[in-house]
Amino acid sequence: MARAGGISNPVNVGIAVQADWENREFISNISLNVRRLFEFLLQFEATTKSKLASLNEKLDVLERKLEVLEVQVSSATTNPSVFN
Amino acid sequence: MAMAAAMTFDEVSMERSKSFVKALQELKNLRPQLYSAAEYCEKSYIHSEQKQMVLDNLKDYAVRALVNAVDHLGTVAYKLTDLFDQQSSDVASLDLKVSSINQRISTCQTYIDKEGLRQQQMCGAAPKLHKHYILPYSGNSKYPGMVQQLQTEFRQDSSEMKPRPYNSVKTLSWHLSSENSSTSATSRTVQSSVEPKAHKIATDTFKLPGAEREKGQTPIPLSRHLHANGGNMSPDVVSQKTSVKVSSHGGKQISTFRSFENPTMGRQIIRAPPRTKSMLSALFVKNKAAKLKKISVI
Repeated sequence: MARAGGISNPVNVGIAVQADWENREFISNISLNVRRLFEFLLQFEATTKSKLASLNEKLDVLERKLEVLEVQVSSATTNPSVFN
Repeated sequence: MAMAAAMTFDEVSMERSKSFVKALQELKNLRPQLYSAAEYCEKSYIHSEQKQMVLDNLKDYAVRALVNAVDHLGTVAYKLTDLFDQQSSDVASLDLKVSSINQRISTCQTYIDKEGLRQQQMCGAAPKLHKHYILPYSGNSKYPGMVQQLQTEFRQDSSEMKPRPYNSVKTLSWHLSSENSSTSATSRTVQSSVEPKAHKIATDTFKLPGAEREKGQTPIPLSRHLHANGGNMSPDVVSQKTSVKVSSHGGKQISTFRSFENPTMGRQIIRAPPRTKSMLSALFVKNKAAKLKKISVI
């Protein structure tokens, strides 16, 4: 009985170690995927920031052009004798 | 079927914005769900006797939660990119519209400037022709019409001058000078008879070069001569006032004054073709009355 208990102990230890290794592998896989998700999020944020900055710049240029056009049109409407 | 109904551009853009906001809200809601699930698994593993089963359930839930989070993140990223593309296209179309308006305004401005220049140019468009194109050149038979046209233009330009009673392009003085140049022998006799009178009239104010003056004769001012005759002068005197023979050779070059009214116009060189006496006499008969009228006005 003692030998059976002694034989089962290493087996149990072995099984426990194997289970532990599997758990650790699972955890490493999960952490790896989470890190990949984090890297995707960082890259997505950088790309979106650059695109939004370019769009903002285009909008600023458009706004200035519209202001100039507004001034020109207002001057034309206030001085209709120029077109006569 | 109802969803297949046509939607306006604004409605489509609104739907896109709503879907993006919804996906973002769902992604934000994942965080408290994951936190609550983690606390439940921890408590159940501590208090439960079947720890292996709890552990297996926890592994499955973790995998599914990760996949769900990745799915939500992908949806949000896709919708955000779609919205950004829509906004970029709107900005590009707006840029095109603004550039078209700007181009229209610049075109209008260009047209206004051109019209203004055209109106300003039309004000001072008085034709100014050289004198030797204005004076008649009867010897040139190639362009008779052009001579007439030039003469009409000259008459239009010199609107301030008094209109002549006769329509003849060639003045009496020109004919006389041509007559003198053609018949040199007869002209010399005529010249000798009228030269004293001409030199009396040609005062220092005219200062005609080459004009011969007799010795001992003092030039009489034109105004005195006019007053003496009472404004009525003979055609011979009139013609000599306006022309002075420079060279004895006939038909080459003669310097004449155009009229009394513009003494500062200078001399004009014309070429006189040969003329006969009969024509000259006919001109004298026609233009005598006209010249008298002209002199009376002066």
